[in-house]
This record gives sequence, structure tokens and C-alpha cells, in this order.
Amino acid sequence: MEREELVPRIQRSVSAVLGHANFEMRDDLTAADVEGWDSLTHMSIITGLEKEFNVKFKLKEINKLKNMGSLIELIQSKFAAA
Amino acid sequence: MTDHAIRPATTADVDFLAEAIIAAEKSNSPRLGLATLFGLTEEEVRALIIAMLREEVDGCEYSISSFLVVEHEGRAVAAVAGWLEGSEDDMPSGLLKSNLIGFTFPPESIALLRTRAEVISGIQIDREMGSVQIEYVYAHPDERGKGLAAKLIAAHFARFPRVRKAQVQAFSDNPVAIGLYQRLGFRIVHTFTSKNPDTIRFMPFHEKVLMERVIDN
Repeated sequence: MEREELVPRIQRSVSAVLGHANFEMRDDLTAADVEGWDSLTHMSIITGLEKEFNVKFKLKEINKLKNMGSLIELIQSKFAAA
Repeated sequence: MTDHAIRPATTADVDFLAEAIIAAEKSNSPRLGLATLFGLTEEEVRALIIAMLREEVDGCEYSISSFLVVEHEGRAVAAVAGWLEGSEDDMPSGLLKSNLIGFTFPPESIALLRTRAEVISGIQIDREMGSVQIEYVYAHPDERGKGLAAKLIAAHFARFPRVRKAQVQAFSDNPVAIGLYQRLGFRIVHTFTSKNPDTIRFMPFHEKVLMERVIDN
């Protein structure tokens, strides 16, 4: 899947959990930069993304996510592997 | 403490660590947040805690590698978790914990938590990156009053000789825990109070304190 298609879908999915879209989809964006992205919402964000893209993340994969760039890469890798 | 030896926890300790985590989470109340918030029984939570520990993820309160235990006559009798916040690729321990819960707990429980998040949002406390975090301080009832928790906390400080700050959290209505931390040099730096009237139905108390101390090994 192309990045241009992926990024807005990720943004919509994350916004749906947080209830706002006050963040820029920069590669270096981290959870700490986004209002409301905490340990409670994080669970819903991850499960929401799995649902949105019909993929399953491994625990090791999500534990290595440093920022939005690595999240985009991880989702891309799921489609590359399919 | 001649026959009480401190050692790192191993996978063989998971049942005891689960006992320690549940007791510490309940904080002398009958309410276990991990059960009430997720719609689970205490025994279901125990099995899920053991499953999370067995994933052997480092850098949070559900990491076997975070725990030191006291062994007495061949069995673990006290435990304390301690870790360096952000030591795993700068990942906040809260997100690692979140990933573990999301990976292990039933989807319907995660969905239920989403509807109850407001109940605990007021007493969720961020942990400072680069500080030593102390959690789940527990001694078996027969082993209390022997200073085991204090020795375990001191042993955690010794694991991180370059770190200068430690943090610990406690429910405000737990004077025993707060008193222990104060005797160990911690001071209350912030009080977090939930304004949500339902908090007390789900959690041990509606207020928590964040305590800090300088480590001068």
C-alpha cells in the first residue's frame, strides 16, 4: 500500500480514538507529542489500527515503535509481506 | 537477614510475582483495578498477569527483569519492581504495559476499559524519563516488619549507580506505604485527585501521590 494512501487512514483511525486531529503526521511524531495519547488510549489506537488495516501486530513489533514513521513502516511491511 | 537473600526474579517466580502485583494493586482495599476496569475476576487477572510476565518484555512493571525478590528457605517471600524509565529504546513504560495488556487481555475487556477510561484518567501519573521507578512493593504477611522492602528498594538503587532520581506512587489512603517511602527519603511532590465519583467503585482510592527522592549511592 502506498504511503500517500496509508497516512490519512492512520490519521483518521488515531483521531477517532483521541477525539481530535490536532497533530501533524510527521515521521518524528511520538505519543508524547499528541494530546491524549497515553497508556490508556494507546491500547485502543493499536487495536483500532489493526481493525482499520485488517492486520495483526506482534508484541515485539509494537514494542519497537519509536514514532509515527516507524508505525507507518510497520503497517507498510504488513502489506509488503502479504 | 542472614537467611534472607536478595536475587533477581526468574520465570520460576511468576506465581509469586502475580501474588505481589495483585496485593500491591489492591493497596489494602478489596478492589483490584485490573479486574474491575476490565470486567474480569481476580483469578482471570492472575492468569493474565502471569501470561504478561512470561512474555519477558523488559522495561516496565510487568517485566520479570524489573523484579528483585527476597528468598527465604527456598521460596520467594518479598518482591519489589524497579526499572530505569525509558531504558528500552526510550519507550515509556506506560506504553509497554499498554502493549502487553492489549496483546494479552480479551478484546471485549479492552473495549470495556475504553468506556471506563475516565474513571482512572485523573490518577494516571506520568513517569519521568531517566528516573528509577519503584513499583509493586510487597512482602508476604509472615515476613513483614523485617525491613525486606527497604532492603529491596536499596538494592534497586544500587542497580542504577548513575541515576540520581527515583519515583514511587502510592494511594493517598495507604499510610503504611507512604510512611515506608518517607523513611527511605522519598517526599511527596504531587497529589493527583480524580474528580470522577465512580473512581472509588473501581479503584482502591480516588487519590494518589507521586513521591520522589534523590539517589546518593
